[in-house]
Amino acid sequence: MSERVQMRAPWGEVIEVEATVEALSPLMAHGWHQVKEDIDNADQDAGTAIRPGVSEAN
Amino acid sequence: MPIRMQEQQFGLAFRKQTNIATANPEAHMWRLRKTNAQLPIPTLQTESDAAEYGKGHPYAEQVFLTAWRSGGTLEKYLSAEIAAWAMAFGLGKVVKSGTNPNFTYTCTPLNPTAGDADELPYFTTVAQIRPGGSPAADYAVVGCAVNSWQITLGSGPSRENSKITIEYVGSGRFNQPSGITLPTTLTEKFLSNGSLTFSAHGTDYIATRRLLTLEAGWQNNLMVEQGYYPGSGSQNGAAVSGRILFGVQAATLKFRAMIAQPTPEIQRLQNQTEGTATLTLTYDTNNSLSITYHRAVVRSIEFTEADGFAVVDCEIEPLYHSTNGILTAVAKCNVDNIGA
Repeated sequence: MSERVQMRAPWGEVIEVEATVEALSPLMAHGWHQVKEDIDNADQDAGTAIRPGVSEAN
Repeated sequence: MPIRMQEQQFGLAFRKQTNIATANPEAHMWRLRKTNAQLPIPTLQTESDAAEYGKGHPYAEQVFLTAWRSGGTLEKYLSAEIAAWAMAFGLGKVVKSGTNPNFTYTCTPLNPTAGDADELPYFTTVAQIRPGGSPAADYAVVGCAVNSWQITLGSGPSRENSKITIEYVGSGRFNQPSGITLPTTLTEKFLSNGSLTFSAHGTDYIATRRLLTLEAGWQNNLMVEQGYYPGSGSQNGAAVSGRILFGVQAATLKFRAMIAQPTPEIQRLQNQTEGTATLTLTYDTNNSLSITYHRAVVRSIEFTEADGFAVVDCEIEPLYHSTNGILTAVAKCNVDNIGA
């Protein structure tokens, strides 16, 4: 199982996803960055957050 | 006293600079083997007044210092470490996962349209020959950015058949002496041509044993001249660059394969069939490089001959995928903080 990483959207939203090509590519291609500091708001469900994020960036 | 070029020491920062003008510290440096002799010693650009009027003659009376230039080409046998470095600094966007000593770097190109930076991470290189009290050369070349990388895989049993070429451009800034004592040469994990897996448009080119060569590249088309803007900075009386923006980026992928019956690349070219392409090179579970092109078509094919066999040269055009971007590289190695 892949490790999970925290990613932050251009608009500030933070989610946690598996560190796989499938999960990271859509985020990285649309302005999301890895969160490197401790973030206290990373409790959202990644499955529901990825798609809206990508569609907004399109 | 003549000096052999093998005496040179080449250092490369594996972490990024805090800004274009601030050199990496000693703790960020690798000492690397390479296969080309060139060292990135800065050059000073000058101009004479020969073309100017008012002197009473058309000849030069004075030479003016104008700008410092730096950069170079790094040619190496391909390793997990330099592959991770090239993906992190050449593409620009990195997500690190994994734990010591096994790290995974997922890398994608910067996309300014989506709010990413329009400058790649900067790094320092070190060029030394007989460093110490009275060195033949000792430079820290500051503010470098990757212009391109090219991975070249051939057929044959030597390391020559798995190489990477990295072109980089510097800001012109430098420290002389470098003030850096390089560590011992980095122990690298060689990614051999024999470890390759490659598939495109559903064809496994390794299983069919058709593949002869493969080249994968990335071009940032750095806008070097644009960095010498008013106020970009100066050193020792000549201008230096204040930024190195990247231009129109492009991925390249091409290969040579033995002709099959039928040759599927022909139909894919005619139909402009879209699909993914993935190449992977592996040393072991924790040291590898994998590049996925999310949307690719055949751009051109050419029938030719190699060693008496009928072969096809196939050029793939990686296209932009609206969800996944143009490519994703996953590099695994034992070194922490590459590109950080």
